[in-house]
Amino acid sequence: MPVILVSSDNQDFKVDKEVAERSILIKNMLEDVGESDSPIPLPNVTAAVLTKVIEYCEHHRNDPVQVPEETDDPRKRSNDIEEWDMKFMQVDQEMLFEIILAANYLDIKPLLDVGCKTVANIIKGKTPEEIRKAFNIVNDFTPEEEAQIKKENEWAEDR
Amino acid sequence: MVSCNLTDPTTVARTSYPNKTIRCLELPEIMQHIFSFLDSRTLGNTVLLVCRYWLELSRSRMERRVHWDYRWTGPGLETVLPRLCGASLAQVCFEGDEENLTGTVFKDLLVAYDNWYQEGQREQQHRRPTVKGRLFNAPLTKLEATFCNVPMSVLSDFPFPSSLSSLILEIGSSQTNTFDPSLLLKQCPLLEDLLIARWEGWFVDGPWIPRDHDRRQTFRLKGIALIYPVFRQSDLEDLLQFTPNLVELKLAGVMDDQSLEVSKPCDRIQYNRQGFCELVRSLPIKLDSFLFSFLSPTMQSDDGTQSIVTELCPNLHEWCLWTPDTTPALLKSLESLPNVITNLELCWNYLEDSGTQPCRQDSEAKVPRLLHQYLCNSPHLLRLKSLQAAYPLRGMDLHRRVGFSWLTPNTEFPWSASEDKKLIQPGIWACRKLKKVELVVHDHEGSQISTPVSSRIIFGYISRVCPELEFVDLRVPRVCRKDPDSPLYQPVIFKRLDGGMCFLTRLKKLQLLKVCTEAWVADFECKDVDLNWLLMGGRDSEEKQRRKEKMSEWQEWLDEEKQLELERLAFGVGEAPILKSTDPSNPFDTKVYDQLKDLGLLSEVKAVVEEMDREDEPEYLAQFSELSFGLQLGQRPETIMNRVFPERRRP
Repeated sequence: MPVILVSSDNQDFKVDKEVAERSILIKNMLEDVGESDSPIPLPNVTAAVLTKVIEYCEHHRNDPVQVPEETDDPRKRSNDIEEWDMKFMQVDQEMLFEIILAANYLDIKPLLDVGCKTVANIIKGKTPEEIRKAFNIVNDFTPEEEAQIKKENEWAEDR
Repeated sequence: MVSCNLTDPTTVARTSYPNKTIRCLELPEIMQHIFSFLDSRTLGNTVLLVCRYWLELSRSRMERRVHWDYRWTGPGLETVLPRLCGASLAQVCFEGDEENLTGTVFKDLLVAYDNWYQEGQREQQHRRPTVKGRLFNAPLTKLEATFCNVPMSVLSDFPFPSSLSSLILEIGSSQTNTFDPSLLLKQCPLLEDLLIARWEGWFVDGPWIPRDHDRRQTFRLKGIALIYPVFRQSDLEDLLQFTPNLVELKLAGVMDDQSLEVSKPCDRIQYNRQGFCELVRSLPIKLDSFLFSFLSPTMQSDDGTQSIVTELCPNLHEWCLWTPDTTPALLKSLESLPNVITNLELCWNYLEDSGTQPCRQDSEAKVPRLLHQYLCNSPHLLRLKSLQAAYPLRGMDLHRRVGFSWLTPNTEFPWSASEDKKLIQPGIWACRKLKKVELVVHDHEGSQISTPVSSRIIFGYISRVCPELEFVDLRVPRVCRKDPDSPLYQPVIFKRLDGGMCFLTRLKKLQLLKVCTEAWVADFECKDVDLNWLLMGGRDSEEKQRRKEKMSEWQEWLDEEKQLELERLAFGVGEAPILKSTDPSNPFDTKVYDQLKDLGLLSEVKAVVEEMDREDEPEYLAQFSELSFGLQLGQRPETIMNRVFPERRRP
């Protein structure tokens, strides 16, 4: 049965229920209202972003439900993005962050992971100044504070 | 001391982003999620320094490490260890004796550290702001300590910090060999992982459970590993009743009181492995890893390691094998298990060390052949540790070039198809995603491990077959002799440029490199020019020119090599068999085989050096941060290079 999603700019999207239910938020809403064909408003997601999110959910409609990770590695990996997902994430930075926000709002954990991994990969290998430039961040440290952070974080043998 | 502005979160304003679409960078839960995909190095070198808001969000994720090794030259212990406060991991290696250890700075510092930690805990309870806080105020949770010449009894009531969740104690030679674990468990209630090893055996003195322990309370222990212990089985069984979270239990090389002279008299120690396993089976714990092996074959019962382990470990992902147990059937069972084995570790009997381990047991235990077969068949392995059982060099020598070093053109190539069938057939490891390898490589059949060709084969093979490696620890046996009448010799891994260590520049994720070979003597021609490529500073035009000049000296060798290669092919070695996986779902990797066509050749080293010294300066070893050329803990590559080559050119 199709479900109608309404974007913040009032555009309707007709999607299969199983696709829409990749979003835990929507799944819970559908469960709450029961059998109903009322449109579901998504006031935090624009049509452009919703189009991308639906594209993702369509592609992953048959994926098994993600179980919490059990790994002996406390730090998660960012280099295991699937090829399709990697191509999907080749968008401008503005859209990348909008997708992350939407995934967070709609509670689509795999999409949130892929988005955050993509940002983590952007950060990797850059200097602090390059990161500031990439994300328009202002350096609010004094030179003394910067030196202090470096000193406290250095390896013991460095002294 | 840092300014209170940096450590007091109330003074940290959220960074405002001019671009409103980047507002998600303001959401702490999303930022934390992004940071969770970053390694410590990136967090420490970049993220912390971006802005105050990022510092505030990420500093709790920092795992600052303090490490120190008495074998280093450099700062003294007194200088280094005060940095323990706020570090979450300490790796230390000491040498001492009872007199100087009990009064040492380390003990005092641990006491001081614990006071600091307890004070912080109290402050937190009373919600008083820590104005004197450090930026990185994580509790010390992991301690890896190696003690040489330290009596074990001293360590029983050592002031190990109460914040520890992981403790690894390795004890070298020491005067006493008894250790009271109840004191440790009382001192460290948060302990989850405990490993105690004393290579000459040790005695667990007294019960594990502290006498005043409230028996309604359980312990947090998840992993217990005891290496070469003598223990009362009933005491350990008592402890296991109170460890509901236990997933790893390794009792390796268990000894009886006949094998070890204990310092104090005790009852006759006897074990009943079957009874022990039945008890473990009856407990509400699910193990991922289990080992209960005896030191002496005469102590072994015949209740079948394989069935015990598979029954006790329904979620098995790790095997710790005792080399006498490493039978073809057992390794076969590893491949056929429904669970995926990701960690494999081989232990060995240190006590039979005659100065030639780990090569001596090669021909007896057949372990090298089995290990090689397993590696060529099992695709799942991520971590491999075999530092006491040697891996055969022949397993890597796909093109039988190992003998090139002794040959001159027109000498007979030492190979025949019939002879080849009796030897270990080379193959390509199936574990292509290996992240960590700790391996002793050897060839017991001759002194072939001591040539630049063999080093080129090792480095070339590892770098092509396992491109995901992050941690590489390669060693050769300290000494070897082919048979009792042969003279001893020292195997070598060549670090010289022609030894091909630069093949490791292919490893994009390499972080730590240890190449341990005691015989610097045989590698005496190794100079800084051979190794400067390891450092960022060793890649300028002058260093490139020095490498070019070094390679220009190779012309005669390269000409000889061409001729030898023609003769090798004329002998039919090009068709020599390769060990291929029997599993149809895991087909032979022809692509990698093709990449390895020049394995062992000096011409390949030349090509790799030319590639890394290209004018457009390709990036390599971007993650590389730790180096060691011996058994000691790794250090920054610059530190090691400055120590080994004090006169080296410093760009």
